[in-house]
Amino acid sequence: MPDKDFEERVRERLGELSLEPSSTIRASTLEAVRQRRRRRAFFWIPLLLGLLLVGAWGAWKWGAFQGHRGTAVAPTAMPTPIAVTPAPPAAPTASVPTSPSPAAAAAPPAATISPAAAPGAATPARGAASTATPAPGGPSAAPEPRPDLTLSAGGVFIKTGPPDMNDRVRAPRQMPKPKGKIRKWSLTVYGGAGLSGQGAFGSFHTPAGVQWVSTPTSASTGPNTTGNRGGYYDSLAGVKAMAGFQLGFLAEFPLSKTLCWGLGVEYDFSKTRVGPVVQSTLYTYLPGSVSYGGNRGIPFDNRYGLLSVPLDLTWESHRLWSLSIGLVPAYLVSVHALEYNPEGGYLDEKDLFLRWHLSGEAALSLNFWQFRGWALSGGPFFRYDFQSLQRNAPVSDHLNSLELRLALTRSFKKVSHEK
Amino acid sequence: MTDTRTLVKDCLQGRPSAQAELYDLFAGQMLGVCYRYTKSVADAEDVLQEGFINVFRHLGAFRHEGELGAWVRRIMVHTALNYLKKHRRYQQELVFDDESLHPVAVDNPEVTLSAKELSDLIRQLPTGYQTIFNMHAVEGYSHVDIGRMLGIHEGTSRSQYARARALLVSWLKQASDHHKPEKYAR
Repeated sequence: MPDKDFEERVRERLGELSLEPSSTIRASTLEAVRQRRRRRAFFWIPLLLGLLLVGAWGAWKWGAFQGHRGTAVAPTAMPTPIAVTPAPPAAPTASVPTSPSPAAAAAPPAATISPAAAPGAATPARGAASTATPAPGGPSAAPEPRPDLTLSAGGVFIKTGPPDMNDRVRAPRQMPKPKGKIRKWSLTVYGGAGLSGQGAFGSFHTPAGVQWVSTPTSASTGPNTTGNRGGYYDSLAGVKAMAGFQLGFLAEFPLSKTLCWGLGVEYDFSKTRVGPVVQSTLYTYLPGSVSYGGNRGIPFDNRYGLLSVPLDLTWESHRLWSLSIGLVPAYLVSVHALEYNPEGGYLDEKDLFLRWHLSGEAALSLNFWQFRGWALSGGPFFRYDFQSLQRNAPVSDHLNSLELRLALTRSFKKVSHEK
Repeated sequence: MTDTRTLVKDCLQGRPSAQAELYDLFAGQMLGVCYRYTKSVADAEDVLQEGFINVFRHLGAFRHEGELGAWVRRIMVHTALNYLKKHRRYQQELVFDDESLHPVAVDNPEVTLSAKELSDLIRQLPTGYQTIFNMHAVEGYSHVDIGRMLGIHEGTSRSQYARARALLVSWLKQASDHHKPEKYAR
């Protein structure tokens, strides 16, 4: 078909077309791609921070609400069943639990009496949870009118009025105390994201340093440390903070009422930006081609992956927050980073890095939410690597992490009965 | 040279070296694509830059089911079309009249021009003709697809293509007779 032939010929011919884009376009395109990744981090970090703040505020409000509920009788919307236990006529006792306990539920309907049906036999106390001993016979034994109580079809009094102040005082006494030793432990799964830096303690941005080195062509010659004579003036590139994250789990066991210790496994990823570094020494050192004319090259993103075993000590003196400190032995499992070698400039050589590390960490954790043994908490977290990343580093080269950590904890309680 | 799978993986991890390698691998060819859709080299380079940013943005969606080059090319074409719709100087020319079907010319001239010369000839077509010719004859999109992508009727795409093709064929004939094509006047 002739038409097809024409189109195919055009397609084939145009397939050969290749034009050389300008170097400016190349540089700006690649820079724009890097900028976009950076902008994404700048978007997520404030979002995470905002979510944590909203969560903290919500937890605060929820905590206040729970605190109110935990000590008082349920509000009027929630009817409270009241069971009155039968007692001898001489000393009847009314027991009124604030919540439907198994004991109350198990009580047979016959044992549930109405204050109106049995005057003189049992007098519900003024306080719903209190006990009362009425005077035998006599008008004083008659029950006081209780407008807040209504009789349900099952013969149980339902409390519909406002909470009684006595309830909050007496209610805890109704809770059965477990006999035996309680062993508590918890399992926490957590993750965090934030900034990671490289330098001295607390450093997330390290300015460029300077160092005198010998001529670039003699790779075997060490740095010229004699002063300002001869050699090449070389700059140690600056380091900037980049994003990092962590994921892990931790098992915690109580040491005392307010202290517990924990052991876990964690993966940490840290990224820092070094540079600009001279491009010709970016990946390999080539004697004779290395430029020591200063840092007019490109930036490079260092990446470090560490597998660690955090050993934490947590102080929980308050219901809403806790403090943790810990020691973290870690192994550098992956590294793709440039490190400074006075003899070879910036190199991406894994042998230059220390594999085993020991870090210290501290965290503040706010409890946002708790429900049936589950708890959600989060807060700031800081870690400092006690060791330099690089063997024989010419500068302080420690990993620093400042992150926001979110944790989901499941508490387990085991009661071992003593015989 | 790194294989495609590793290259994509490294790019997704944000390695600058891999990003540079992917760019260098396709930039020349893709600039050719952008050149065919635009009227100036500067515009072509703008499309190229925007297109590569889109490539890196959507690289995670590449499933290795086809060739990476074809996938990059599709993104470039889409970016070029968006560029034409977005910029006023192209918007005014990118008008598709709902014309009646134009019979497809049966002329089948030899293409003796080089790739660059042929591209330059295509770029002399009015923007609407140029776009549809590129999409149908070079990229291989069907008229249904072109209609959907440009928001025009399928028949419009067919008639525009027929006119573009007829015009190009006549210019090619002139070129083969060693005459320079006259600039199309609307």
